[in-house]
Amino acid sequence: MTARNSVIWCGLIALSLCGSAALATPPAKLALQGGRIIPVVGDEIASGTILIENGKITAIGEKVDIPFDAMVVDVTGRVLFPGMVDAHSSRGLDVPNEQLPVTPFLDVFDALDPSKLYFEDALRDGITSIHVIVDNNCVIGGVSRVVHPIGLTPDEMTQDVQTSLKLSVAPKRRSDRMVQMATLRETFLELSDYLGDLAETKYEESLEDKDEKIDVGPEEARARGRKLIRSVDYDDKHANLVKLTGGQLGAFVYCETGGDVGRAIRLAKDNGFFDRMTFVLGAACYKAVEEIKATTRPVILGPELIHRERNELTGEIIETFVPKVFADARIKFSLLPHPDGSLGERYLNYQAARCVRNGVTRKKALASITINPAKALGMNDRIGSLQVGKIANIVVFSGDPLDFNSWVDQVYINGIRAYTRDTDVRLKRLFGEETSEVPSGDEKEKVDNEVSVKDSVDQKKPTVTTSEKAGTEKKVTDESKQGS
Amino acid sequence: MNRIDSYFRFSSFVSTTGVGVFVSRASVLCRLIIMVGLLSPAVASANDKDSFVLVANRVITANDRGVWSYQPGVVIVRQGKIIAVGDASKLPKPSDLRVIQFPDATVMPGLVCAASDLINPHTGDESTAGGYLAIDGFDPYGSYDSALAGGVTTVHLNPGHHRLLSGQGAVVKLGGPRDEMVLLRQADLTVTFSQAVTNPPRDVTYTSPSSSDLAILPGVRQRPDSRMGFAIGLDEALERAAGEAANFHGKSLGNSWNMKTPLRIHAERAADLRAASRYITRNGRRGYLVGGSEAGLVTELLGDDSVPVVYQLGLAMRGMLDDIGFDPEAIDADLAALRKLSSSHLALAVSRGLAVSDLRVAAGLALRAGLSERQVIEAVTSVPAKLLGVADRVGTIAVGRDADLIILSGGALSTSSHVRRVYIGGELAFDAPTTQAIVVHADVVWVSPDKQIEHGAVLIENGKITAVGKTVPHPPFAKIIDGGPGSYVTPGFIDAYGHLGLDGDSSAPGPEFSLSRIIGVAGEPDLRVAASGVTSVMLSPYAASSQGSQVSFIKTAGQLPKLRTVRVTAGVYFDMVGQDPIKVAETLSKRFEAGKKYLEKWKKYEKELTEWKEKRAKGETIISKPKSEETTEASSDADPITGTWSVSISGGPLPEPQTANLRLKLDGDSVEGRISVPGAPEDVKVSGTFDGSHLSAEIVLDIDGMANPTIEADLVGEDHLVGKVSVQGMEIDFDAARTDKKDVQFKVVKLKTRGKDGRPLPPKVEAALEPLRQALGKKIPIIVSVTSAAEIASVLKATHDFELDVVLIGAESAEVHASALVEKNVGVIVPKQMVRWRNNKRYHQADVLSRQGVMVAFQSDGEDSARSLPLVGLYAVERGMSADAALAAFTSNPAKMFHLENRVGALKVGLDGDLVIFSGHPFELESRVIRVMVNGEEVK
Amino acid sequence: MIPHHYLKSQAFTRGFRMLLAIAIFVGVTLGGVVQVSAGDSPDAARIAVRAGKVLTMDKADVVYNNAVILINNGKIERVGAASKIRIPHGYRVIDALDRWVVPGLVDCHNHTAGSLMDLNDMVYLTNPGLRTLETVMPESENVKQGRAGGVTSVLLIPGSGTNMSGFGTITKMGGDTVDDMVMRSPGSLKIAQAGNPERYWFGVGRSYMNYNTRQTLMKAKTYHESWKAFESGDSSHEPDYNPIYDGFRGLFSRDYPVSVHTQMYQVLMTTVDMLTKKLKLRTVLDHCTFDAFKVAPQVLKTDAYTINGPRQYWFDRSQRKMNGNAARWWQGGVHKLGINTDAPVIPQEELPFQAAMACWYGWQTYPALRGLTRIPAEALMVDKRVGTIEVGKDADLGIWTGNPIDPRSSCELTIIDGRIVYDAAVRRRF
Repeated sequence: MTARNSVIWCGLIALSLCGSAALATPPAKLALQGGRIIPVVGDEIASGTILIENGKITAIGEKVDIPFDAMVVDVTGRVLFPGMVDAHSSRGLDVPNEQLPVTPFLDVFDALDPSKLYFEDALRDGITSIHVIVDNNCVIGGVSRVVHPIGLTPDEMTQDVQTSLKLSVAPKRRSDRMVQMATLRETFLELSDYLGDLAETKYEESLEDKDEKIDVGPEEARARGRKLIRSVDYDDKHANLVKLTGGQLGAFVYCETGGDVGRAIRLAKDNGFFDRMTFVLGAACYKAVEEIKATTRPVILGPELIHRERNELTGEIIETFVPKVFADARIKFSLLPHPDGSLGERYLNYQAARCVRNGVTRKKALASITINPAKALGMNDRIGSLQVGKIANIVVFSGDPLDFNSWVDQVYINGIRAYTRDTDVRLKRLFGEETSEVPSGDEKEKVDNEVSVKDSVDQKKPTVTTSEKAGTEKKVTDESKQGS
Repeated sequence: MNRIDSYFRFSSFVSTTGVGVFVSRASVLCRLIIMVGLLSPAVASANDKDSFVLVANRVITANDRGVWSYQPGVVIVRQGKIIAVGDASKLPKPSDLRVIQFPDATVMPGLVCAASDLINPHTGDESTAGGYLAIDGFDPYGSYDSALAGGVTTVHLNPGHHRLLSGQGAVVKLGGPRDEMVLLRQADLTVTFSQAVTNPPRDVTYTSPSSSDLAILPGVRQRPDSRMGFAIGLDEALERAAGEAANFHGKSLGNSWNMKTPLRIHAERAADLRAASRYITRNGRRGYLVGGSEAGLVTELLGDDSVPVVYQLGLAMRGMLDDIGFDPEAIDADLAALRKLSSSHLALAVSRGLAVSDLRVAAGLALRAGLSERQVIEAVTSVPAKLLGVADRVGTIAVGRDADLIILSGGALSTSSHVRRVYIGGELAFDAPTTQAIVVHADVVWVSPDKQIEHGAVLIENGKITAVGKTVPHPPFAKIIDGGPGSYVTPGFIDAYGHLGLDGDSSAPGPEFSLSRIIGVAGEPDLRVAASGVTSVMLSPYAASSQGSQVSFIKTAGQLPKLRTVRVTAGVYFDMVGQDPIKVAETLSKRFEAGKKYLEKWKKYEKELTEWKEKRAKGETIISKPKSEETTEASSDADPITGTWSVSISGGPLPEPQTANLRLKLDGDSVEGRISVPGAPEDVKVSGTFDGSHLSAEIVLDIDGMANPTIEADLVGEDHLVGKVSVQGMEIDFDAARTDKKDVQFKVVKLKTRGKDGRPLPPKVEAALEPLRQALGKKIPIIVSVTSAAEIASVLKATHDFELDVVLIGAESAEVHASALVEKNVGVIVPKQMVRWRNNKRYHQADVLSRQGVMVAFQSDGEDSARSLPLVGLYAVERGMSADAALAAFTSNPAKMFHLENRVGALKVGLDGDLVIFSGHPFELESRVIRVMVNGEEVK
Repeated sequence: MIPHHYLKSQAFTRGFRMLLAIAIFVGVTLGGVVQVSAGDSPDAARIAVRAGKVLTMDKADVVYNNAVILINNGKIERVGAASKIRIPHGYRVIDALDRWVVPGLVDCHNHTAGSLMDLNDMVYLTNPGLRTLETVMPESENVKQGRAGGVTSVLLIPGSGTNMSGFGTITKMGGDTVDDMVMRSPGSLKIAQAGNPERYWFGVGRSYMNYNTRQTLMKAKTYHESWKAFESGDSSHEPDYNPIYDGFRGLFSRDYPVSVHTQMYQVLMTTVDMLTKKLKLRTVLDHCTFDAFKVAPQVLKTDAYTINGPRQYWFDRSQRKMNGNAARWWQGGVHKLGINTDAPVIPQEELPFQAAMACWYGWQTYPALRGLTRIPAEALMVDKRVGTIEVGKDADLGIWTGNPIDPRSSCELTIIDGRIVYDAAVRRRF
């Protein structure tokens, strides 16, 4: 991308600006010095330094030997916090769901829209890892992937591919639980029939090669044939389901009510993916907290943190703060930002702060937006805390992350500065600030005009070969207009 | 500002003298924790939540093989199962189980609703689909309170009745242990033979993943198009299910068919019922029919060996009155059909669109068809349990069955009875809302001395009487109490002079102190009194202060002091027994005069305020310059008290002695002073009395919720006071020596009389005169303890002069003034010893006075001895007093005397729900108190 | 809210009509503006055009003022300054000394050169076995209208009802028979992304749609490769002929391109990634509207052609700003940029008007003219025959009263393969 273009892109979308910045070559070594470090795992450091080398954290502590060739960034007075993790989001998708109920063969890759404002917001809000997954409105959705909110294509954004399949035991829209569960059972029954047939075919093919014919009966033939199946033999319809039941794919299972939890557990156990199941829970599921606890599987709480239910006899509305129930049951949970929240709920750190307000400990609240979702994604070895060896996804807050007067000041992804508040065009516009660094709307127009003119100059003029001056000739560039 | 000041004052006081307050509170807490710790294991073992003994008026077992009902009955439940059922008087009760008593209630098995719309029909298109399981639509964490409130504990879940084979039904409980809620996951194959299942939508098969080589096909048409297609449609589905190429729904159907899952066929019309019945018998299946409007027309269904029927009753419930018109498919349910059906094969259920909570009432309609109560009950309990295949678990109260029990406030099929509690698997699944109404039935409702209602009832809601009459409304969940034959219900009795809760404390509190402050949660002695029928006490100190003491009107039962207190200041009590009549008049008049002045100040203020408000309303503004001038009170001559005292306090909660400086001034017998404590920012006011040798003073802290500390000290020598300081019930030694006899001057700042905007400011509140202000305003009476006729005369004169209402206590010579007493409407609280000799004749004072028209009331003059007070009435009647007069002396008279007729004293709408149920006439020897209500809550 | 451009176009149409009226009046009184030498047969194989201005639109961007074009046997024989070319005898001379001569316009996205009614055949979710060749209609009134607007070549493609709706046909806008008209069949594979195809069947979402496109192409690629292996002798196994996938063979050997109905950032990005980058197909990106121009950096890395239209602007709500689509693409560095009509969405003859709108929203005239001629010809891989006025190429010309992009100009004479297919003097249409 040329320098000129990047100026245009700056005008087009702030995201692209961030993207292009992020894709630039990062400094090999970087030291964030003098900030208060909240590593989430381990003790807080009142004032310390994080050393980043080649995108990874290589040292962290009160005193760190900073190599002479490291770029030093002074973050005194700031708070260093792990990049937050959104464990379940369909907001990065253009058309998040299929009409077809069972689509395990699909991949969110094909619907990921890097131009979604959501990614820009996520970055601004300090979320550095997003598990992009099909919305709850499905029976079996496609495979998900983990992305960071920068990059112009899904490939550039991707952190981890093909992590999990999405399943829902709550009814898809315009359906009901009986049809939902029947469809799920039907799918897995069909899978086992398919695998049996495939095994039998494979066995028969192997006999053809050997030129012998031994009738061992269908059961035995299937057992023998099963060993002959290679991964390429599965068709699209079944390949990901085989990965699910065979252990290569995880499952994010959405439950809407307490009753769904039991059905989800039964489904997972019957089909061999219980050990890789993650609960995605609606607020009403808190009623099944004991059942959920017994599974020891990761829990992702839906964005609605308060469950309201009217007592049908007294008419009284009973409110339950859901995370508190899970915290009291000693279940590690992950929080989600609210996709439709116009208020604080759309910020992950605000969701955590609400938990503290409602009696969840600070430690648990902080874990619920960092290390817990990282663990649910199976990526806790790479993200979710500030520890040596982890990917340098770091949010620099202006104050405590749970204080809502704190702003995200800078965001580092893979050790690259992906966001700085100073250059956030939209934020500036929100506050009506005029800065010399960033063009405001009007100034940007001027930049665009300049570029247009420059374009015109670059443009090769048509060669006029005649000596006669006909009156109809016009300069090509004369007509360039700007839309108003 | 004042509040903050007083807070600082308080904290400084505590910092020097009151550390112990907190220490002692902490220790109480510690003790509580230890107690709870000791108790809790014992509590847990004795009160296993799924084990108990349930005693009730009637237990209906619904068990046609055993005893059908016990009265009174008992059910013993251990770990969720019924281990015994029997006659309450005969069956031994295990001592380790808690006992739940419902003496008015009927206990029966949880109702079994064999048809419900509890879950919505599925949205699948298949005409015959074995793979849809109704259980998938069930939420074991859902709230089923309304169904439980209808007594239904077990329901059949329907996958729908919109397809020929809609799927598989399930049977679940609506509460109890969660892992026991599902009784049958796949209970039946749910088939429907009705026009509703014809013309099903086309069945679309998705080709997925689709592509350029997989065509998108239109949906396939399905059977049935008419009634003729019902049986063939099912047969075809079964054939497909048995084949190799069976799809998911076919395989599910095949599996269930092979497992001999019963057939459940919904049908209403005679033709459909006949076809359904034949289909079941032809295939040799277990099964039953549901719906059955025209069952009476189908002979196949009438025999004892016929296919059972779940008859759905709907009718015009909940205002659903449907016109039928000429709709050829419409059928009106025919109750007469029920009579023809075999009773052991007939279950009753609600019809579509009717909530399961209406099952009991809907089924009760079958009584109209001539079915017996027993038959109806079985049709909603044991019979449906048997049809659904869950009879080994639910449907009867029998040994080994799940403890699914419902407790009805009245009769099993009575419209006025409601479900009070539901137990499922021994767990409390539903408890009727606690803001319950109580309906008390009795043979005689003795509303007030002059009014009785025979075979009447009283309704109490939220602690107040809301209806009295021959019949009263029965709100949902109302608790119903029936006194039984011969029973009487009377207003709660009032002890017109008692000391309940004083615990022997004979001190005479000052006029500003209300005894209602000592009221707490009703304890054992209080409840003993309450249980005797005495529901209110005019709580009085043993002795009155010379300035008069307050009396409070309280209830004998209740959880909150606030609820127990009817009136904080119910009267001003003067003890004039044995005083010189002239002194009596003098003392009272002097006191009343002070009160009158005070009252006038208030009256003036109120008048000014009214004027100000009027002017303000007119738009005038009155700015008057606020007065603020300092004056000093005149000092008095040297006396034993006036001067400066050096105080030392020690002991009690104080870790070490403290000193203080006390300045006092004597004026008459009242003492005014200031105490200053080192380190405190401001002096604290002290006020009290000195009778020549004893100083009784109060340190005026005025902190909400805390009584002011008091000083009680005796002048033990010249310039030497020794005594105690009491704070929060703790005593600290007090020792003071006078260091200076000089006059003390206290600055008194005259209060502003007008606010900034000219609004008059209220006079300073003088706590000691407040009760008198109320009395002089005729809001409360003056209560005087007297004996002799001369004294009574004196009292009458003094009170007459000041236009005060008066109540006499004791007043042994009252009959001398009987006509005056009647004229002035003076009440007499007769002495405990009412039987006296006069003129060699034994006479009963209450009787005599009441005959003369004097308003009399009874007193206990004791604490929990008030529990025997009702006997006083009984004895009075025996001595000749009329029963009406005796009741009046217990109820309406004291209520009138204390101006509390709007709260107590009668069974009238709007009054407190205080009543007593007697087994017979309240003043008969054989009668006893059965039950007592205070504020609508039963005393236990 | 009435869109700004709508009012503009209304005004424009009125002006245009008035202009037409004047032109007709003048034409009638003066006996025709374009002088065609009397006596010559109208079917003469040899034509000389004397033009006031010739835009060759060739790579050197040569513009001749006062020039002569010689046409012989349907091809351009010579083109150059009038002073340097003598018109040989026997040429029918067309005098257009105050007129502009431009190459016949090329439209990459046309549905009207055929029966018009038969745009979609949606029995399957993807229908690549279909061809528009069967629907070409030389006698179609739409064809006549198009050439009256100076449009001489179009890619007739099926509709966007399904993800793959079949193979298109490149046709001339003149000819008596289908064979006369057809330049190449298959002209391109039509793929439709997002919007319309998502509504088919019970409706598919974005993931399914892209999966669907990809899996069909992968099956076709396997088919292609097995044939290639057989033909090159690498495999002795002769694959079965499959009418559905056979058309893809030329696609994978890059004999013809894939034209994609694609709009919006996410969709266009996926298209470029899947078709151009990963499957390495010659790609023509059609429409490319809404915020699709943000994909410019991706497109720049490929050899894809971007053919914009018919929507010519996009209002960015988050920035509260109007964007000219073509201008944005151009600013983004995408210079292989053309214009299409999606006729009949926009009438075929209004192809230059689309370019005019693009200019009105910030593009430039000359690149826009290129986007009507050489660029679409290159995109469709027919640039050896059409799109420019160069010796040896098909004699497809339009003689215009002025700059074709100027809304006041009208096409007075259209020549296709050396034949006059439209002459305003004989029967004026616009």
